[in-house]
Amino acid sequence: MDRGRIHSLNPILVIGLIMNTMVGVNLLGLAHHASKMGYNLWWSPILLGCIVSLTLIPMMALCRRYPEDNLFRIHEKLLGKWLGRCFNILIIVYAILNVSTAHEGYVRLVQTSMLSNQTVTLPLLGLTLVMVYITNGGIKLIARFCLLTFFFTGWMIFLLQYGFQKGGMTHIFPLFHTDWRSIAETVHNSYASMLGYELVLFFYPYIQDKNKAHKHVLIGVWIVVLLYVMILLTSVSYFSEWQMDNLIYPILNLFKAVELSFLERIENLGIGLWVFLILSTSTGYLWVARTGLEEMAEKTRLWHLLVPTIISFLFIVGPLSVERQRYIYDKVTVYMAYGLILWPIFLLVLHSLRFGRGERVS
Amino acid sequence: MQNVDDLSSLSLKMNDEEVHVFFLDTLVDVSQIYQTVFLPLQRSDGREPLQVLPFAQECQLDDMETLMSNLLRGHTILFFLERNLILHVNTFQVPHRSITKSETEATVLGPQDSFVEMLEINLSLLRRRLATPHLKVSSYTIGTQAQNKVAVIYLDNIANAENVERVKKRIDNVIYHGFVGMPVLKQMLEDKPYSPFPQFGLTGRPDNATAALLDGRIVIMLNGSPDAAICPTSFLEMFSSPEDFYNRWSTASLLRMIRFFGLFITIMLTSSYVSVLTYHPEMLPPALLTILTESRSRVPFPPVIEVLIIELVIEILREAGIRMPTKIGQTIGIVGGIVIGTASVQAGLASNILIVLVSVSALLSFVPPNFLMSNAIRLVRYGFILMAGVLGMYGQMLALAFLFGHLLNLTSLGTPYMAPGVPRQWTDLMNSLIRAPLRFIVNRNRMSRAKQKHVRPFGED
Repeated sequence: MDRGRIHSLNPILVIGLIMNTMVGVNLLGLAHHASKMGYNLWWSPILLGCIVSLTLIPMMALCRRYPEDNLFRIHEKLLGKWLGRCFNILIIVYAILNVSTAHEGYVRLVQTSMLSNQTVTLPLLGLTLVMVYITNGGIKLIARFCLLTFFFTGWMIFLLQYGFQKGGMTHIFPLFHTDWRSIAETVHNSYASMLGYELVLFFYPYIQDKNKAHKHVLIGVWIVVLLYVMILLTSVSYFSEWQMDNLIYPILNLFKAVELSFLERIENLGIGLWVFLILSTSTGYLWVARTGLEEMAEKTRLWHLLVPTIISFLFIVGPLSVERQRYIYDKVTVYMAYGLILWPIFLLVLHSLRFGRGERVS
Repeated sequence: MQNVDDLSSLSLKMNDEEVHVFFLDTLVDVSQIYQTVFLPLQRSDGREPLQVLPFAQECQLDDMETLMSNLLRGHTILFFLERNLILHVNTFQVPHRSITKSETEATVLGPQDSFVEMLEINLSLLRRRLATPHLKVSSYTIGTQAQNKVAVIYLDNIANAENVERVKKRIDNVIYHGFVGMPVLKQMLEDKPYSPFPQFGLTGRPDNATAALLDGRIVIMLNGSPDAAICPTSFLEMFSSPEDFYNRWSTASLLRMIRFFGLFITIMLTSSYVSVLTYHPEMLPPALLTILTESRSRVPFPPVIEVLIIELVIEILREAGIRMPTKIGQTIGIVGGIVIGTASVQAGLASNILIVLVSVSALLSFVPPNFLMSNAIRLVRYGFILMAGVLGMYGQMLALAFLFGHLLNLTSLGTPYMAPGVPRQWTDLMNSLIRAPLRFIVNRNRMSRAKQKHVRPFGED
C-alpha cells in the first residue's frame, strides 16, 4: 500500500498541483458567479486569496504536526478508529462529488457548445477513462500532468489581450463602489473557483521540502489569484454589467473577442483545451477518494479506484434529475468544502488537548 | 554431434603421437588453421603441446559443456589421446559485412560509419573513439538455445552505478530461446513493454553511441545485430540527431524544433480536418471554408472515412515501398503518389486538400531520426483521427491528454521519460528543444545521473 514514504513532489510540482487543482470548471463562469459586485468584481479574487491564505494556516499547522500522515490517518489517530472512519467516508463522498462537479459542468458545456447532436454519455465516458488512467499513476503522475497542463493551457492568457483592447479599462472605476452584503454573496458564490487547495491535507506526506511547503502552496494560490484578476479585469473592460449577470460562461464570450485571420470561433479550441484543466482537477479528487478507500481497507486494489469512478459517472448519467444534481454540486459540495476547510481548526484543538501544543506525531 | 555435417575431424601426428582435431568448417578459415595449428604441430620437434601452441588453452576433461560451446564458437579442439589432454585454440574467422554508411540514420556531415553484425567489430568502432581504460564492457550469454552474446558498455567513471546494476539485473532476468536482433532484446529490457513508444534509444551509428557513453548512458549491444540500445533515454532525445552537433547551433535548433513540432502537426493535422469538417465548420474563415467545401463537394463519405481511406493508402504505399525491389520501388512512388492521388480526387473519392494534408503528415512522420518513434506516431495518429470522428475537437484534446498522461507515466530505466520537460531541469533545456552553443552546454544530462556532472572544468585557464 502506498504509505507516502517516497517523497516525490518537488517544489515546482507542489506549485503546479495546487494551481491546477484550483483552476477548473469554475473559472469558465467566474465572472458570472461574482457578478453581484458589478464592475468591482475584479478584485474579488484578491479577497478570496486572503481567505484561502488564512484558512491555509490551520491546515499547514495540522500537517506539520503529522508530517507523514494524510488527513485520513490523522482522523484515525485523533478521533479513534470508528469515528475517524465515519469522517473519512464523508471526505470520500466529498471527493467523489467534486469529481462529478467538475465533470458535469464541463461535459454539459461540451455537449451544448460543440457536440449538440450527442448525449453527454460518450464525452463523459471518454473523460472518465482518461481520468482513471492518469489517477492510476499516483500523485506523482497527477502532479506532472498538472505541470504539463500549466504549460499547455497557460498561453491562453495571451488571448486576453484581444478582449482587453476592445474593452474600456475605465469600467473599473469607481473602485470600491459596493457594499458588504454583495461582497459576502460574491465570496460565497465564487468560492468554488478557489477550491482545490484543501488537497494539500492529503498529499502533504509526499512533499519533499516540507519546511517550505507552506510557502510553495501560497505561491500556487497567489498565481491563481493573479490569473483570476487578469481574467476578471478583462471581463470588466469587455462586458457590460448586464452581460456578466446573464452570461453563464463569460470566458467563452471572451474567446469570441479573439480575431485571427486563419481561425474563427476559437472558443471551440479553448473548450477543447479546457479538458486538461478539468482532468487536472478531477484526477486530484479521485486520487483522494482512492487513497481514502485504501486507508480504510489497508491494502491497494484497483477497485478502490474504480468504485469512486463508477459512482461519479453514474451520478451524472444516472437517474438523478439535472436540477437535483445542480443543487448538490452548487450547494452541498460547497458547504462540505467549507466544512473541510475549517475542520483542521477543530482537529488542531483536539490535537493540543490530546498531545500538547506543537507536538509532532508520526 | 550427430548430423552436423560441417563438423570436420582430422587426425594427425605430432612426435608420433596421434592427435584428433575437431572444428566447424563454417566458422573457421581452413588456411588459418593450417597456419596456426597444423604447421606448428608438424614442426614440434619433441616439445610439449602447450609450448608448440602458445595460444591454446587447456580444457578440463569432464567439462563437455565448455568444450561444446567453444567448438560452436569457432574454436579448434585438439585431443591428445596418449596424454589425456584437450586443448582448444580460437580460430574463429567468418566473412562479415564491411563497415558501410548508415541507411536509416544518414547524415550529411560527420562520421559516416555504422555498426555491423559482428559484436567484435562494433566494440572496436567504439574503442577507437574512446581510448580510455574506463570504457568497460561486460559480456553476457543469454538465449537458452541461441546462446547470444550481449555486451553492456559504459564508462565506469561517468555512468551511474545504479543504472548499470539495473541493466545487468534486467539482462540476468531475461529468459528466451534466442534473439535475432537488438530490437527484440530491447523490448524485453524496457520498463513498459505494452507501450507503443520506444523507451530505450536505438542507433546504428557509433558516433551516437559514443556521445551517449560520454554522457553517462549505458549502451547494450547484441552479437549479430547492427544496432545499439541506449538507456536511459528520454522522449525529447528521440528527436535529436547526431548531426545537431555537427551543424551550427542556430540551424540545429531550428531543425530540432521542426522535428518536435512536426510530431504535433502530424497527429493533429488530419484529425483536425475530420473534427473541423464534421463538427466545427464555423471555425474556418469563409474563404478557407469555401475552398474546402468545394473540394469535398463530390465526396460521398463522411470526413472520418475519407481520411482513414487515404491514410491507409499512404500506409500501404509505404509498406509496399519497403518490400519492393529498388528498381520497381520508384515506379510505386509515382503510381501511388501521382496516379492514385490525382485519380482519387478526380473520381470524387477524396478531396484534394485532404491529399495535401495527408502527404504533409506522412512526410512529417518520417522526420524523427528514431524509426521506432516515427512508427509509434503513425499508430497514435489513427487514435486521434477516430477520436476526432467521434467527439470532434474535444475528442482530439481528450486523446492528447491521454497521450501526455501516458508519456508522463513512462520511464526509461527508471528515469522519467518526459525529462527534462516535466520534471523540468533547466540546465538540460540547453540541449533539448534547442541546441545551445557548445559553451553553454556545461552539464551532462541530469537524466543520466552521471558521476561527473560537468563536461569540462570550470577553471578559467
